[in-house]
Amino acid sequence: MKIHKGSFTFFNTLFMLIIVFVTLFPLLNVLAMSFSHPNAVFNHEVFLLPKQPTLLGYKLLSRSQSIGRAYINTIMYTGLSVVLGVVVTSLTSYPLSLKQFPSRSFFTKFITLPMFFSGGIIPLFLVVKSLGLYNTLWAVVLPSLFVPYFIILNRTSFQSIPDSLRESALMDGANDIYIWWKIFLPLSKPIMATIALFSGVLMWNAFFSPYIFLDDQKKFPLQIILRKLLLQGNATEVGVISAGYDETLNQEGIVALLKYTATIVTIGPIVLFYPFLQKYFTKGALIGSIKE
Amino acid sequence: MIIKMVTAKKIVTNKWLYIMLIPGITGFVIFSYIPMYGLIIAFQRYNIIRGFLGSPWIGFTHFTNFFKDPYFFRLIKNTLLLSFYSLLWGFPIPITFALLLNEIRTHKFKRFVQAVSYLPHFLSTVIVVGMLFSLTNYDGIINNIIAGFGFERINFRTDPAYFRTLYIASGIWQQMGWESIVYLAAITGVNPELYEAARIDGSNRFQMMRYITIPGISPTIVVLLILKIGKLLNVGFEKVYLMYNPLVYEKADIIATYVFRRGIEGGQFSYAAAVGLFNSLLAVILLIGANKIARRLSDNYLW
Repeated sequence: MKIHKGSFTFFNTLFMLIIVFVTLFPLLNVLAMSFSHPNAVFNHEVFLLPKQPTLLGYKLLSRSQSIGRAYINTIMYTGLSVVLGVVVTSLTSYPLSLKQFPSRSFFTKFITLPMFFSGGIIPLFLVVKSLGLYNTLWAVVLPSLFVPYFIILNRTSFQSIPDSLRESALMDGANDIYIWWKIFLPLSKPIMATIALFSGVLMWNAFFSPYIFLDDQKKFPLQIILRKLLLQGNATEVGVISAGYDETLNQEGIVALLKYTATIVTIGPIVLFYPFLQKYFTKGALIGSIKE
Repeated sequence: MIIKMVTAKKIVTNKWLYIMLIPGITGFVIFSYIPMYGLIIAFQRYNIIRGFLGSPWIGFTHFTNFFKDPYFFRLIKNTLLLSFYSLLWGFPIPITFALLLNEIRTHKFKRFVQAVSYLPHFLSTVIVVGMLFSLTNYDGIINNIIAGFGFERINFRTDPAYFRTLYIASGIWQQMGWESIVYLAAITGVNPELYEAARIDGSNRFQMMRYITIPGISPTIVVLLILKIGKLLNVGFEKVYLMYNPLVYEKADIIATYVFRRGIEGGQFSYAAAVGLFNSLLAVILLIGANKIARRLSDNYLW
């Protein structure tokens, strides 16, 4: 029995280490390549450690106007989406969390139906166009504020707040907006953080919505520029001129190097903050899945 | 009855609650419900100038045209196969991972593995596909290994045969850890006394897994399975779109991508809306069907 247990533990541990390696390798590989010399990248010499380490990729990228602009756009869209989204979500989930709310059941169903059935992209596109929102940042930000999953998360959190708090506040003459603002909001900071993080990641990573709703290159977020660079090998929009550098540098290698540098720059914030924020994500995933 | 008649008096007493709902409900009306209504263009010859209400009515013409479309079978086949294989491979893996991870006794190591495994979930589709392309390049790492063993290099990107495999494999890489969270939580919810009793009776860990853990988390498994089936036909569009190219349409083109090409890129809004509606209805049928089967076979279901 003991020998059996030992060998299982050994293989299981080995298996987990393999999982860790397979998960991290592509990322470490990209990281290493971003700090490598273009020729080494082009010749596929880089694996886990940079070859001929250089900051060339980052220097070139920092001169790119479209990446800089895209970064600012992404931050702006993400910031707006998070702040507005958290507020709207909290506001909407408050009445739905109160047992005494007469239309509770109706509006709850109203909110959850879109989780299972939607009109699809064509009607949504036409609606956005007809509202005159096409090619504006609101076309990207506004639809992201209304996420049934977040409202349910928030509602669950509100439901754990004792009724007595609200009741005594009502008796003291407060109205629901005041109660929401002064009592419920401060008490639900953890869930607000969770929702902020989830929605922030969604908007940071958003490709499709900006892709169909935005036409002006100056409004593009990171993912669109990244797609052009990464998936279509198109470095012209990154707009980097390396003519000033020496000719020993392989041009295709430079494009490849830029791909990886741009990748790191895009996922940088997420990976950096990830270890500190991990617990918020896992909690959110749990609450959301175990519905009543 | 879903809609209860609410008296005016009740609205007045709770007026702030109703007011607080205005932003959220307005948003849903504009971005979820009006588009749902907008699906009627599937039955019209939609005209941008005339809009939803003014365009001429042509009934089921678009649908019959779709059934006669030369790509009809290919689209249905690709959509269903991609979904089915994603489910077949992608569903059990997080569960297995959770079961094995649960057996790790060293707390710190377990948490480390977990944290690492969640990470890919937070990468954008563009990034994941970008890394996939990089790995599967003609002169990329995977091909270098293949060539190293003396085999011929594979053109992953242009050969339709590999599309599904790459799609599903990269999906597993990205989501395995994240999807295991719920199962791990469910496993911790199983009564420890059951394990104690089994241990006394001399069970080994595999028997415990089979007779205690898995039955213990089967409600969670069934619910998640039904939800996954419901989402099956709707998710995946972005990734397929980023991954595909005309050379692999034969296996890669799914209903949603066809809708996009014909509708947004091609401007044929009505036709694309009709195809999209067909897709959504298929998804709803699958969802209800899965729930019905779950109801029949076990005590666990969604509704």
